[in-house]
Amino acid sequence: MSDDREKLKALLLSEEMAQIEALRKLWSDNQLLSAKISEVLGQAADLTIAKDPSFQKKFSKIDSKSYVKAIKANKEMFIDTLTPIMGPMIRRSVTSAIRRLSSDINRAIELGFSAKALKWRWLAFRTGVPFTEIVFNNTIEYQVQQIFLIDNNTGLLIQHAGHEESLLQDKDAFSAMLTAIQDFVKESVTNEGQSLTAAELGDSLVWLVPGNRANIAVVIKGAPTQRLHNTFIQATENIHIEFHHEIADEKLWNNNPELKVELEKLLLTKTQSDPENEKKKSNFGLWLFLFLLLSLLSWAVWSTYKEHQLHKRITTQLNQTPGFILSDLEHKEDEFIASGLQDPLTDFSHLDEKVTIKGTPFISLDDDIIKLRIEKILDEPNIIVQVKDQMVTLQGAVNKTQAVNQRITFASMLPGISRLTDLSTQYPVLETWESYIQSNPIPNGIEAKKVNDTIHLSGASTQQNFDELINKVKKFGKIDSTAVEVFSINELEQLITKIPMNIINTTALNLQQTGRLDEIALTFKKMLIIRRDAKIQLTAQSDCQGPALISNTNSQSRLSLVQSYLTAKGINNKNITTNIMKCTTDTGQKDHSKIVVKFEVIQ
Amino acid sequence: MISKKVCMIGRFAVGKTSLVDRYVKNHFSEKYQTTVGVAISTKIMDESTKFVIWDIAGFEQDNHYKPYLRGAHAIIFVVDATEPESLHTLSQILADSPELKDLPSVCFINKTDLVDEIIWQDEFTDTITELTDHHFWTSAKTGDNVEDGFVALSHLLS
Ligand SMILES: Nc1nc2c(ncn2[C@@H]2O[C@H](COP(=O)(O)OP(=O)(O)OP(=O)(O)O)[C@@H](O)[C@H]2O)c(=O)[nH]1
Ligand SMILES: [Mg+2]
Repeated sequence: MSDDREKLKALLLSEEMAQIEALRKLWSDNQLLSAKISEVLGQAADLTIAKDPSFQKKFSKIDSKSYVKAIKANKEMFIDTLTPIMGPMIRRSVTSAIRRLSSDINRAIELGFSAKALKWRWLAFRTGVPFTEIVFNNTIEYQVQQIFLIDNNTGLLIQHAGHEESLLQDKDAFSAMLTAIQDFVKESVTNEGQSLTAAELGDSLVWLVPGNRANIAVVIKGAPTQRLHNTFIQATENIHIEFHHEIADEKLWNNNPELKVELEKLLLTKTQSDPENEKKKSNFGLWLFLFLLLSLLSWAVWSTYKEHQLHKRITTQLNQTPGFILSDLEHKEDEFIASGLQDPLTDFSHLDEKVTIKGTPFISLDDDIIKLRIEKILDEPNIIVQVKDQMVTLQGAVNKTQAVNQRITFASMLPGISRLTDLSTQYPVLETWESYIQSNPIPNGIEAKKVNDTIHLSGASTQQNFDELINKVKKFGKIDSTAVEVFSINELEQLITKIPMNIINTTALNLQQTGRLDEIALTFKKMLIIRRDAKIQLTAQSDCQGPALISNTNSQSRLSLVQSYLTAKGINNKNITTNIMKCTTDTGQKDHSKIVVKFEVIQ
Repeated sequence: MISKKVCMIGRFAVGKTSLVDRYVKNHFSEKYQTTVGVAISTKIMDESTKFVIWDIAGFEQDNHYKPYLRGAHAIIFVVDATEPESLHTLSQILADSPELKDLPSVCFINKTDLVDEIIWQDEFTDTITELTDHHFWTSAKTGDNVEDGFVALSHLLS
């Protein structure tokens, strides 16, 4: 039965059974199954990736362990391969790092005093962010110049954006070259999964951003940021999703306006003058700060300048001060302190600032100081001292006493004097006794004679006259005044006027009368020595007894008698005046005591 | 315009670079400067085709060239008419990468100007026919057949 059934089965379902058998065989035979699946695997994978691009990453994972093993086993080979490549790579990277650093430094220096830099300094001050960081953030600039979307497989260009003119090479060649380099690096330089991600092309930078099917290569000038790099990673993923079809179809390559527009969006540029949002912020704080800074700065500069000028002026003045050698000038709290060598004779009165002198004593050989020193030693204001190049000349008129001469000799021995010429003259001019007598007559009545060193005075005069004379002549010698007679005018006048002379006789004078007249004449003569114009007045008087005419005539006679006698005794008539007290009536009384001649001295 | 990746394949010093230079720049140099890695040149063949030519360094080393061949649209095999060994190298490459046989290709038998030095046997030509249907007796020095060879390849591709 079962046989029949089997036969029937075989009859009816032989074809299907064979197929099932074949399928079973396929399932059980791993090799066969693999061969079969492998036929569709590619297609299936493409489908999966199309639905979910992230699958690619999982799918294309490489077993890193095998690479590690290989490297461990063949260290030498790897080293040999890497050495010639690593050296130049390291060198280049170091060079470029240095280049960038130096350009940063240059820029920082350039910006050092610009308005922008001040603004940043203000910002750094305000926010506490280090200045260098702010400079870095604000100065990095870049320009994405070229974008290549390159097929991973062939290295052919899928789409390009950017200025073709600025490309040195054909863009297709460029794409192929980049791919070739990438292949080369992948094969020979890097470890598992790693590939070339950046390269330098002249002064441009090339970034290679890997994608599933296509890589994006970006040519950038300047210093791009990490953020830009992230932008490109994102963009690569987006393009793979949005343009999956275009990337896959070779026929659409290099001829896809939509893709080109998409790539052109990535031609980003960042310049220093970019930050528009900052402009909106008020700059008042900054300007105020700048203004204050500027004011402070100008004040500081001005006061420094003034201080400097003052310092300079005082230094000059001190340096020009004779007898002072300036070594240091300090300014402390409104006071200048000058230290140096100071001659005791130094005069600082000409300084127009208050300067405290801290001087160490020394002997200055300055001409001006030598002059002062000599003047001080001579102590003779009439000597004019001149000093030039340590040669001293004395001029002027001075009484050259012995003391003065000694001092001049001493002065000539002072240090620093190479020669002393004394041109000073004697003053007053030295007088001899003879020349003195000639120009200064001795007062009347006095006689003066010089014998050897003694001046002998004689004669009569007033005490005052004698004193004056002695004073004047004592310099010529010792005074001998033993022979002088001293009188006084009053005494003399009294001697003359004291007694009226009783005189009766009209024709002759008796002895007593002549004696009296001799005395009067002598006295009056003495008086005349002092008072040359003095006059002696003779007044005759009678008792007026008898006829007045006779009385008056007699008076006249008596007067004449006296006058003649005085004249005879050497008194000039011009020094004599006469006067008669005339009688008008006869008194009738005889009185001899009233018959007299009176003597008076008038001017 | 469609770009095509064309790879020059052949033993070192057979004249790969010289042939490309002759075709692209119409220039030839006696001096031998071996290619390192790969050199890329492009040439517009006609209004719709542009060749991106990968001039790959001599194939004497094992397999290093393989990544460069990835995605190639066409192959130019090059042998030296004066150096039979260069043909042997091609055979080895094909043994390694048999898929190359399926690509459109031409073969340049180069240095034909060195008439006296040519060492050639008919069996060599047979070997070449196994590689490709099209071969050209070329000289990079004189330019003989070089352009014809490239143009023929571009026809194969369109
Ligand atoms: N006479 C002659 N010399 C040629 C010709 N083609 C190339 N040469 C010379 O052969 C030498 C090698 O040429 P290349 O073109 O550099 O050879 P290659 O195949 O590129 O070599 P690799 O880059 O090392 O793989 C050079 O000295 C060329 O001048 C030719 O047609 N005739
Ligand atoms: Mg070459």
